[in-house]
Amino acid sequence: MKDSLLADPLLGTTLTLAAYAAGMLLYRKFAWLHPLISAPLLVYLCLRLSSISWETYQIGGGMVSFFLGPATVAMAVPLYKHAMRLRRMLPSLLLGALVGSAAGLIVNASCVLLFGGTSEFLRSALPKSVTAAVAVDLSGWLGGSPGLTAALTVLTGLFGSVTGPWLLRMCGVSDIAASSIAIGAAAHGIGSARLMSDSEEQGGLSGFSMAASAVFTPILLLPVHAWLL
Amino acid sequence: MRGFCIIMGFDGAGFLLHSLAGVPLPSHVLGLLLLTAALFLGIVKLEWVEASAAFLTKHMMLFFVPLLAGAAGFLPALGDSWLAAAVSLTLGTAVIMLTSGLATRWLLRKRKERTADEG
Repeated sequence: MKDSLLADPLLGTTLTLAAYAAGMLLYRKFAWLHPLISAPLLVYLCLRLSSISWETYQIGGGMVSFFLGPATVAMAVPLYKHAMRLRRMLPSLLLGALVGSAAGLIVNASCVLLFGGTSEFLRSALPKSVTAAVAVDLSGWLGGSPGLTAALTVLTGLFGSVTGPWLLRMCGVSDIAASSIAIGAAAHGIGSARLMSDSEEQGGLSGFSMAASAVFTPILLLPVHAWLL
Repeated sequence: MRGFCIIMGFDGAGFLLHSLAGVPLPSHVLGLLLLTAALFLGIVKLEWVEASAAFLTKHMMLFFVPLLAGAAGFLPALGDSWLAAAVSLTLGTAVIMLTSGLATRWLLRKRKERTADEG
């Protein structure tokens, strides 16, 4: 009886949903505790305490993460909507996002090369500035570890969303469009979500930049992929 | 439901292009590129996919939870790469943000000057 219940996808899906709901509730109380930190930790702790194996959890957990694929494809819609709205500024904004994507790859690579990291870490860290669904996809494609990339990507987004607005203002980027583009290109969805809570316009601009980077980064990575494999 | 079918269809098309036709980009990214192109070309109407796409992107965080729960087990295995990880997360992210922000500001200003000259 117990075995059949454990082997059912219900266990993994329910645990994931419950942890996510709890994470959202916690976030409402403690604004510094992002749900992408608390929810996975809750799942991890539950598995540890109940001695349910990772493989058993993944029967249902895998079903939840399956939807990352369609969610990545769905990002075409906000990209299209924002491009229509921002038509006049579009060339400058697109170029800005392109510069951000290229800088992301160069900086991420140089950090690993300068401060010592394994080849697997390099492959996992390269795409960490792009939105997590795409980063995970790119990591597997480059031969990195998708789980590690997911963690690095979320931490990057959190750091960028907390420090970004302040840092950009300090360095003289007071223009709303420019700073929103920068945060979208470096801190992807988490940065955009943060800006969205300030104003719809900034959130939209930064979401556009995030989606544009999600398109530019894989294309810029093509030669790297050919060289690595 | 129609929107969801269209999105899944484009995801599937990306998968086919990647695994059968051997296009060297990740399959979901290919799906994203195809759907973007279809929207701009008017093959897919925005109203068809808008609601489903909003649902999927709104709950994107949920879909990451299983992956990240696995990553909690990965972190000790970071080993020799921890310094690189710390630097690229903090300093690296700051540099990327500044580069992109300064470049966009410069580009926007240039554009304004040009329109001012023409007008």
